[in-house]
Amino acid sequence: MGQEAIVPVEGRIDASSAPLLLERIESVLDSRPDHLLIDLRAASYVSSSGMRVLLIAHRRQQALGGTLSLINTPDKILRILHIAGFDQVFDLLPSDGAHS
Amino acid sequence: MSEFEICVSSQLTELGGIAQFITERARAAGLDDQRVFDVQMAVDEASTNTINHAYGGRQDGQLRVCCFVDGDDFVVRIIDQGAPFDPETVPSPDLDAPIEERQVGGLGLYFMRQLMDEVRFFSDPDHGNVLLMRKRRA
Repeated sequence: MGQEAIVPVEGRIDASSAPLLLERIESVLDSRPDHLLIDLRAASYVSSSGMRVLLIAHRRQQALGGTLSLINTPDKILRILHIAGFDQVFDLLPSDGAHS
Repeated sequence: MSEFEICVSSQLTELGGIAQFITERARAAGLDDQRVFDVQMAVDEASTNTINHAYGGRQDGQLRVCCFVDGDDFVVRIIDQGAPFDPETVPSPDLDAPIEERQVGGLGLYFMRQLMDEVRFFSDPDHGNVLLMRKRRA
C-alpha cells in the first residue's frame, strides 16, 4: 500500500467555496500521494460546482497514476451523487481505512 | 398567504445566505429534511446559474428569491434583470459517459428538474427573468 493523503471537507461546498477546496486538494496532490481520500463526513452539501472540483481532482490524480476515493459520504450527498450518475464515477468507500 | 423574500447582490458569496433563508422557510412550511435539502439545492444551483450566466460575473446585479406556500406546494420564485435564459439551449448531461468525458456543464439545470416537481422559466417585462419552481410539501 502506497502513500495515502486525506482531505477533510467541512460544511457547504457551493460555487463560492468550491475554488478553495480545489486549491486545498491541488496542494495535497503536489506531494504525489498514491491514494487521495476525500473525507466528506463533515460535509453538509456538495453542489454541482463541488462535484466539478471532485471530477477535476479525480482526473488529475488519474493522470499522475494515483487513485481518488470518497470516504464517509453522508447519505444525502450519496443520493445527489447518484442522481448525477457520479456514484458510478467515483470510488466510494464506507469509512476511513476501508480500502479494498 | 405569506410571501417571504430575500434580495441580494449578484455575488457567489451570497449563496450561503440564500441557502439559510430558503432552508428556514421550507422547514417552516412543513417540508421534511429530504425535501428541504432538495429545495435548497435547486435554489442554490439556480442562483449560481443566475450569477454566473445571467449576470456573467457582474457583481452589481440583483437577485430576488421569494417563496410562499400554495396549497400542497412550496413555491420559489427567483427574479433577476440579467441576460434572458433559454433552457432549451442547455444540452442534457450524459450521465453514462466515462469519467474522461464527463462534463459538469448543464448539471445545475438537470438537478433543478430532478429535485423539484415543476421548473418554469419566463420573462416578465415588469420584473425581468423569472424562474418559478414548485415542490410538493409532502
